[in-house]
Amino acid sequence: MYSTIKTASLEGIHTKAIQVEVDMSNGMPMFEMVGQLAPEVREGKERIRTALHSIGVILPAKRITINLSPASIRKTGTGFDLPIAIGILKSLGVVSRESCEGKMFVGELSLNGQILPVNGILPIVSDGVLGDAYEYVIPIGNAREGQLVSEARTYAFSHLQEVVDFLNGKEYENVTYNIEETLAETEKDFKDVAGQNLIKRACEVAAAGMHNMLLIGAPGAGKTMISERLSTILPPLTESERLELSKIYSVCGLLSNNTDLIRHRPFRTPHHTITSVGLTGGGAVPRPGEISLAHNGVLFLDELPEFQKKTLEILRQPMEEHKVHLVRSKGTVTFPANFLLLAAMNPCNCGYYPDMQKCRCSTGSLKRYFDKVSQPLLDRIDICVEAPSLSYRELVGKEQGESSKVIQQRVLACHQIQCERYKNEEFLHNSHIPASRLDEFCFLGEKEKRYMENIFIKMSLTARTYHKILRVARTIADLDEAHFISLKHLTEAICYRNVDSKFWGGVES
Amino acid sequence: MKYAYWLDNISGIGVAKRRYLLETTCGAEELYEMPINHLKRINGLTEEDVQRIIKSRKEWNVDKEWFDLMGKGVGFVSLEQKNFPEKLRNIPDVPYALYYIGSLPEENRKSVAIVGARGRSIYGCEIAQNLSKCLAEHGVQVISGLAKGIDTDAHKGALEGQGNTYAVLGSGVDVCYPKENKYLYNKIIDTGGIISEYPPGTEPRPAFFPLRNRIISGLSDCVVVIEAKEKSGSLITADFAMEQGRDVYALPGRITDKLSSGCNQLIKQGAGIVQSVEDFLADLDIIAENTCTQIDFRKNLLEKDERLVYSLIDFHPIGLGTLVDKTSFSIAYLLEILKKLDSLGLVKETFTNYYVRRIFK
Repeated sequence: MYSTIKTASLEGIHTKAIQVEVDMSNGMPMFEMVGQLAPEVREGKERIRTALHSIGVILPAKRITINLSPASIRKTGTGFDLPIAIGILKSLGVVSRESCEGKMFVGELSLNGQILPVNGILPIVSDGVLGDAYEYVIPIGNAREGQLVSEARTYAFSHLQEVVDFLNGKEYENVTYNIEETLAETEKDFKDVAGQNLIKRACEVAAAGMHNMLLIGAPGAGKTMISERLSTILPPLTESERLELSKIYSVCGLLSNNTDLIRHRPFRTPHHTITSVGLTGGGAVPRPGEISLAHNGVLFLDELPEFQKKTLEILRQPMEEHKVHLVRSKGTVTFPANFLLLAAMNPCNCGYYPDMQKCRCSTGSLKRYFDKVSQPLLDRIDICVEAPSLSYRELVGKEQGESSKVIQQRVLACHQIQCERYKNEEFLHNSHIPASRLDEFCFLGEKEKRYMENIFIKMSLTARTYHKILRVARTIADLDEAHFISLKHLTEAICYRNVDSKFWGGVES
Repeated sequence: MKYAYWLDNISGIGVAKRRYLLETTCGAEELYEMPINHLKRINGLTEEDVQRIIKSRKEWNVDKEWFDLMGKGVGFVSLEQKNFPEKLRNIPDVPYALYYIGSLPEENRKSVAIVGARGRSIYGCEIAQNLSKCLAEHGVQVISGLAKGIDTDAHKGALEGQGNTYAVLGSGVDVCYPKENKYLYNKIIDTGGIISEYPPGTEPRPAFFPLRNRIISGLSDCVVVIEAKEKSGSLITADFAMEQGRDVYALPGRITDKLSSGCNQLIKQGAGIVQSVEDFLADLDIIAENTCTQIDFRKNLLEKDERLVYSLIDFHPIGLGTLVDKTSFSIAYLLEILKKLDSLGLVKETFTNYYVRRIFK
């Protein structure tokens, strides 16, 4: 008896519809599965056989052939167990043919027939909806993920027997979940940061223009504390951004049953021992890395010089393209990776440079420390500020700064200005203005031009630094709601300019 | 001279033994020509030493080597010559010979050595430069060691003052160490000289640096220590200077500053104090006109906010971040003030977003 069941396979954060074909015919008794299967799919044979046994179905002594089509796509993951089992049951006539019509099945089986959660339910359901599949049978552990897509009707079960009962006409009881506000993130607020007004302002500018940022400061200056709060002043995620981000997390199995679509912008802090694969994603079956998990949010690299230089070099291409292509022998996968890079580092090994009374580093060791940071990466960082260490009085001072909400309002307004200005462009933010278009968007008046010319010579800037200053100045002007960039915007932008090797060249005279 | 050059290059014969040979024989030439049995009769020479001398006599082509040295443009002077610096001749452990590119300091002019820490503060940097500049302007030769930090500042200051400056190296004269100072090295050759007791081509070694300090102090009439931590090579120079009977001066600093602790210690031991540039010059019997004017901000009649910002800026670099927090001015306003102070010459940006007060105009 021949039957088919619909399911889907993950490909990056997108999915491909897969058809499970089951054929039972007379012949030598055997159970064969074909269709470019990864080991975990092939092993499913034993799980399925035992799980079926546990609900009292014994495979008949027939030639059973399973094909997952299209056969040209490699099938990975454990979500095929359930559709194959249902296909067999359908062929055996245990469940009716009509009841399986139009439904998509995803889930892993355990030996006792339980249905275990799998990764990537959200992309499967949300992509499936686009492909005109509206009903889904999924593991109970992924129930909430399925419900996130409002157009789809999902049925979540914990045991194979329940699925059989449901398909045979038993009423489905919907499960509801209490969505817990993730408090941890909302607790963080810029008003907790004492002093450090320069850094706060720089964060505001960075968030407003989506500029990458580098924080340099002595140990204990509050670099990490401020960094953690950067994502709180970014504008709230839009619906489509939330869905895209949640998909990435779903693929990684990071969505639990009591979360909503991801509401907060991610803040990822990989440890400096991370490998390049951990950062960009990869593996035989490519999984998203930290840069994709930080999509639409902040990627925070603390102790920048401690990262492997090779690891950081890999960031260059994703930072330009805002996505990462992973090419593997089994195919190419693209993950979105549009993140704001925030890096932090000490000024030197001992952390006190340029206070020569405290700093114990020799000029050589200063240079070595600086050389550890990849120059091409620094080139892609627009804003660089130094965090001074705080005195006790400033630390315990009662004076509270602005709250994240207030800053976020200004950032939001600035984003809207940019959105309006770049509505016909390929880019969205000031930080992404290509060098060729700078004259158009960062127009300077006569006086400003002369000023920048002076600065250019005096500070011996490079063309790249000059462009970065213009982009940042554009953002500062936008924050000021000014149409033209004026001198005061330029001066501020200049003080955020990147440090260069001169910074570590010893006390210049 | 060519024989002295040979004597200076016998491997295994140290400075003391070379001087001894010079005292017991009539000089390098005689030693070169001396029959072997005579050599063996010299008291204090071991069998090994004799063998070394004989070996080197065979291997060393006196004329060719001398010709090569001259070809490199390296000057050579040994204790046997009359033009060996008189000041140096009388110090304990005098080097047998000196190599130089450019010239040696003039005997009849005053020479001052300016030494100090490599990782110095802005305060030390400004004082060293200005002191050196004033000295140079008044015809004093400035001697230092071409090291990073104060040494570099001293040379720079002297060049700025259109004076003569000399650098004593811990490597061969043709080896510029540190490499970053190549430009300075070339400038010094133009106006003064690079001096070393080590033959050309000698790579710098840690042990050479304390030793060259005795030449720095020996060539000078007076040694000024600008900034030094408690354990510093500059203090070695000061010790040599005292041993050689030179005047030692130290730049006083705050007792909390580690970089001044060595100087303050010297002052405690009785070193002279550099109270001001004019004062120091007066000690050298030079009446200085006030060439390096100290900045007086009251003359510039600052506005209230500008005075506030100026008062916060010190000789230690202060970051823009700290200034923002302390004044609670907006960044744009603060930058405007800083720009004005900078244009008045009251402060300067030492490196990205760090400001210090200027001492001199």
